[in-house]
Amino acid sequence: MDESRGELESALLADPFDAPRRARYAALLLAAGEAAAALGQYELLLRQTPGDAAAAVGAARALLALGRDGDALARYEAVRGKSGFEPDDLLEQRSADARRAAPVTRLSVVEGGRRDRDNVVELVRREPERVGFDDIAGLEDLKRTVRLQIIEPFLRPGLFAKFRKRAGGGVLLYGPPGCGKTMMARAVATECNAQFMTVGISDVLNMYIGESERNLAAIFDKARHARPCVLFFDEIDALAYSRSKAQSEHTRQVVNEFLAQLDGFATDNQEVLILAATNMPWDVDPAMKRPGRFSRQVFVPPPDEAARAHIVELKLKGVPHEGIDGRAIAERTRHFSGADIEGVVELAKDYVLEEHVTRNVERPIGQADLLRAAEATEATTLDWLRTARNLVKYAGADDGYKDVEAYLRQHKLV
Amino acid sequence: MSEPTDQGDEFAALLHEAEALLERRRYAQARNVVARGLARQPDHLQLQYLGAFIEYAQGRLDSAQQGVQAILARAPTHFGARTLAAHVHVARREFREAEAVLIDLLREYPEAAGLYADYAEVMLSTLNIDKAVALAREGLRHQPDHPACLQAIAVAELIEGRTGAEAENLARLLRLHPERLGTLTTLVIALDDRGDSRGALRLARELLRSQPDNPALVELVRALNRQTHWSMLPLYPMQRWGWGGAIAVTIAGMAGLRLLDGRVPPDVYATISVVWLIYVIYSWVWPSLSRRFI
Repeated sequence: MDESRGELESALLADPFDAPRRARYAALLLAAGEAAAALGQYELLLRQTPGDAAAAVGAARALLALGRDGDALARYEAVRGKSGFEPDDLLEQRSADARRAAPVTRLSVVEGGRRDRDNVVELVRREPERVGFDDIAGLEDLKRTVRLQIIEPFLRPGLFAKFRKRAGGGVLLYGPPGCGKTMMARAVATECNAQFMTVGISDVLNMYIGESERNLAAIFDKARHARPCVLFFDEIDALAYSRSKAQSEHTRQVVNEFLAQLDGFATDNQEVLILAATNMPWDVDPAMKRPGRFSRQVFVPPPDEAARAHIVELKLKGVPHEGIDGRAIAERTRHFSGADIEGVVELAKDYVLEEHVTRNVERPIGQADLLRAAEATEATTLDWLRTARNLVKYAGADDGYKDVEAYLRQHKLV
Repeated sequence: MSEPTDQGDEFAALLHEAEALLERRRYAQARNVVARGLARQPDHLQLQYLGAFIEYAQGRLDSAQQGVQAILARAPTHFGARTLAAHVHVARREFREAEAVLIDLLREYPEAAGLYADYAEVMLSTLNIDKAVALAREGLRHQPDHPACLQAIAVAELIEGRTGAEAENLARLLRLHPERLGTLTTLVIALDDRGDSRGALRLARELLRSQPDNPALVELVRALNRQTHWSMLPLYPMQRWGWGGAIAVTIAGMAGLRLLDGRVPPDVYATISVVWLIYVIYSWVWPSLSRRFI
């Protein structure tokens, strides 16, 4: 059934989710020499039908036509062997040429002179502080999930392989800010007896063209040399920002490089665990969440009541206090993050100090101070939870958010 | 001798970092970066401009305007600050002032398609549809693929109900900028306008999944949810054809009642009349009531 371009456009206008038609339309645009438009259609198709190998190959062909050979080959290699993959002659040829031309410039930068190796050491900060699960208050359900889904497959890959359970790939921790995602990642490193390497946006982004991509490649290279280690990307939404929302080509290229690095790592990930955290999982490029990348997503909720009571206790350690009922404070701080509770304790300290300075009354922090401070503080997680509610209630969120949905239902927020 | 270059590089790096953060909607961090730069060079115009832009992006319009005024006091021809001033006026619904700024800018930059698009948006907001279309067309003459100009025309034609032309412009927009939020939002409106509310809802949900913190999208999905709810099925003619549908249903109902008068037993006629009355009340009351429940 050969439809004309006009017919395809009208049909897609009427039903934007008609994937086979969109694929035909994209191919037609590509054949007509409109590579940029074709690429846009293939990207859209990949968003609508993630994992469509034919669409990924089409996108690679479009990239090739746009002269972005590196991106094209990375995209092509990423889908090789996946279901529905059919080799493309031209891309196969280019791929073979690229292999013959190796080592490529990027690899030589990473593996070459000492200067780059030194840069890598500067780029990735090693965290000397060891935090274990015992240092994290409450969140027992989450710890159990993390142990089963992340730590055990890392420590005992053989056992999981025996049961044909997929190990490997990265894990994305998401949830409201200040609820301990970074601490959880550190604890995972401790429990795995591995080094903890943390990477932030400023470690990667650089104003010079190609430098950000090189930084990323160097970080992964460093992780390979530091086994066993946990490579942790904080605020991954900033590094792997959704390409459909990005305005600059530079941002898109960083994401492409990140994807290529993750795919390269999937084949050689022994003793390296890749973790990432984000407050805004909806801003993370959808391609990041595909199998072999960050296919496992773990929701880190605000601390539960027991955890909140424990945090109050911890924050008051070494500070004069009297008659504190942690449970009562926890009850009055529903949905508060760990950072919010710390703020409450700090505010209570201010009240006591103010009294001391203005009226010369010296006394320890009491229950009333904490309750007053809790009353004056609003949970910063509420904004996040409202956004998550929009996702669950109105957008019909996918399986990736089922833990959030359960949390919202449990707390009658949806 | 190398110091100025080093300093220039440093500020260029700061600007790049702030812009990258801004693109990723990390406003607080971007603000910190700008503040860091301004602490070292308080009169750095580009950093000041970014500072004002961050305020605008976060909806702090007073502060944004103050920032813009401070820049324009020192550099009255600063393009970014003047464009931002127009955007701030639009956000405050001060359309006359926005128009004045844009006309001024267009005199100096008559080939900037983005300015025509901004002006067209102002005209759409004030329902000067013909002028909006003319402006957007002029913008497209300078830059044939400009997404905001294409979108302005598609929206204008949607408002005017010119379905043939609208499909053509929308198709062009979809071909050239298929992933742009504005394109997809226009498509949602177009699908809904054609009576395909379910298709519109599917697409709107898809959009909301990528931007759950966008209140306009939440409202759009909620409206489409209500529209496609089973309880709205009896009101389909009104939803599909608006006042025309309502008038047609009323006339048909009245004619039907008149036709049945004397031809059916009185108790059956009374029941039908009551059902009709309930339907009429339902059609008036339920759409607004449903906002609370759906």
